Amino acid sequence: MDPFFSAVELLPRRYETAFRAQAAFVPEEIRLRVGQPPSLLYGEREHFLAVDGIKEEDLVRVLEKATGASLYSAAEAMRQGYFCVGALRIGICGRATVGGAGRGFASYSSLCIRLAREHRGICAAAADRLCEGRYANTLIVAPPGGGKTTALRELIRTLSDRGRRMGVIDERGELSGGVFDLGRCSDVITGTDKLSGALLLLRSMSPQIIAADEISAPQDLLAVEEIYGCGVGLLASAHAADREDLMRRSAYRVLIEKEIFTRLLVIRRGGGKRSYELEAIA
Amino acid sequence: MRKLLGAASILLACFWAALGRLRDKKQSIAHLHALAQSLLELRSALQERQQGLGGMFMSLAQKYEKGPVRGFYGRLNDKLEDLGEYSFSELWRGTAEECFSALGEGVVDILCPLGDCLGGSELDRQCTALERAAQRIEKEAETRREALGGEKRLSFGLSLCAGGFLAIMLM
Repeated sequence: MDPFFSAVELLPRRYETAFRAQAAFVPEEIRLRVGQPPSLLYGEREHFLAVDGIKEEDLVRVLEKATGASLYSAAEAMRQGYFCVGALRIGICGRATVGGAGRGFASYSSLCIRLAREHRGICAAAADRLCEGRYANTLIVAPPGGGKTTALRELIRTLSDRGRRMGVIDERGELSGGVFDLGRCSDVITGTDKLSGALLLLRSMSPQIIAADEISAPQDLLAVEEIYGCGVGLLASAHAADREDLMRRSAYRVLIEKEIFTRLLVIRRGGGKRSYELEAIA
Repeated sequence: MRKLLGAASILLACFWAALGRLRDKKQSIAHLHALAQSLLELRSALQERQQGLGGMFMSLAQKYEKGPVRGFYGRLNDKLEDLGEYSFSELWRGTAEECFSALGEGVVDILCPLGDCLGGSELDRQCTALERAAQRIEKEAETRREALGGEKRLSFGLSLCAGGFLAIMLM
């Protein structure tokens, strides 16, 4: 089932007809904001539906439905802003509880349901180059919503199907989602932080390349340094528009100066299409 | 002889009716204990496993013998499919009213507020609410058990007197 229809099943029934009429546009995201009509993201902009506005109780019901009335089971992920249900990534905004957003939400103001889809072949050219000779540690960069996770997933699958043993740290289950094919030579660990996942994979699964999504937190960078120098390749993603953007952040600058990553896969968007350009960093 | 037999039958019928009433009340006390126990198990499952509610309801439905407690968790598990159309709170309340009205308004009043916090993001609040509800239900069961003791004696006494009176009248 296309993730769009999985998402529609979570939504209030009164919107069902209006949403189904939009299926042909293959939206990337569904946005629900209190007081506003729901909107769909496609063609690089939001399109609002001609229906009544969202209420907070609608957001609560969406979350209840998505978690089977078990929000506590996704609480840890929710505290970091989003959780995954199959091919859906549900981002949350609202009033944080006492103690800051890290402790959860007292009330909700908007949800962003990102619809993950498989796009086979988008990274075939990059995979060809990465498979020539020795593998070079690669960082996939794009702004938020730019397609990093989709590209990472496809690159993992391609490299895996070409015989590379991939160890995948899928912290929140977004890469595999329980539905995506990550390749026949992939070992996936879910529900653990990147450092613990990396150590476990190194000790027990003898990967040739370890892949992880969105390395940003200090612990993530520790995991990267742990993997580097173990004779295992690295494949990861980070938020940045391009190399110059990446170099503005000290943590990433260190990774590049130490030559931990020597290749960048830059995803650019233009004319409604994405391009995937593999560049040497050094 | 016929009159004696008739009198004995009437006496037995009175005893039987009294026993029946007492049995029903005893059973409702047992159901209350089972309900309280199930709430504590729900609390433990939340604390230890943080499993989804659906899975827990199914386990509880299978664990308890045929009765309102089994019926409650079984129906609730089935009704989770209607989430989205109804809030969890509405489903919980509706099912509690369906399954536990026979045990008295007080029991339903204790259970209904649980629907407002169960399934939320704050685990501690849910566990505390479950524990408190279980304690209140246990207290209700104790009150009924004490009342039952006195009622037992009264019932037997009254039925004996009524039966005896009828028997004498017949004879």
